[in-house]
Amino acid sequence: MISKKADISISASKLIDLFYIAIIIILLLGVTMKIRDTRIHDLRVSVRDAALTHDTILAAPGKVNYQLIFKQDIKVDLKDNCIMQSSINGSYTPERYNCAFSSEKLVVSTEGNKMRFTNGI
Amino acid sequence: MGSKVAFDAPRWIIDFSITFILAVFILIIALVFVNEKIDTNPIEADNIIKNLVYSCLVYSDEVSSYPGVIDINKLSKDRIKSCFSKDSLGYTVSLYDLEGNLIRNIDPEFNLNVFIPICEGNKDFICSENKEFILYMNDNKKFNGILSVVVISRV
Repeated sequence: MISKKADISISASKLIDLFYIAIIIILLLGVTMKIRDTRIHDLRVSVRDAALTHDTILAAPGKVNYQLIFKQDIKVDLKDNCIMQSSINGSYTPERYNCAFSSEKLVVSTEGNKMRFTNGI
Repeated sequence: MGSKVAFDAPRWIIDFSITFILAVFILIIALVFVNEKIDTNPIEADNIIKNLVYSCLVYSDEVSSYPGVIDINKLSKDRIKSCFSKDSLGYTVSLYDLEGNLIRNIDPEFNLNVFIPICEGNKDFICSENKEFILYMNDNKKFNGILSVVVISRV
């Protein structure tokens, strides 16, 4: 009887240790999956790409017609106050980036994951 | 017996503390990785100077316009403001001759421009300076010069 009691007490202590180890492993797996999911990075890069392309085309001395293609489910729209706003599958995300105001004419249109820039020269 | 009881209680606390510290460490690493800054300041600076030299300040006459040659009469605060302004950054433009003498300095008075003098060593801002060799027209004569743009943006 005494030895059985001792066995139970040891396995309970090991169980608690296992519980802590499991927490760490689950956390590691969760973090790894989050880091492997590149969507946040893709969104951040997409809005910057769109804004910097917009600004670069403003600098073009000649006529430019340029199309930017993002990853399949990412869409970037040009909002008021020259803000590039990203969305995934139709819902807006917090990722946005400023582009430059200019008196130069620049036509920007979005269709799905494509964004087209045409300057007015 | 007394010493065993005294050992059991801290053991639980030690286990929990180690787990907590490890969890916080893993989360900090993950957050630093996910929120890594994308430094676009040098690209912005390059964009601004290209915009000024090839579009905004370009010299033009009745025949044509000349990208790469700037008209010194266009080098004004209002003109620069209307050419390229962005809420998230500020910049100043200076024109020097080849001996390094300042010919004209324009501060378009963007909101962030007041921080340019204290940008060095300030962790809240990133500053960069871009210089480009240019030709400029003054009184219908062509001169060599250096156009310098100092750009400031928030981190």
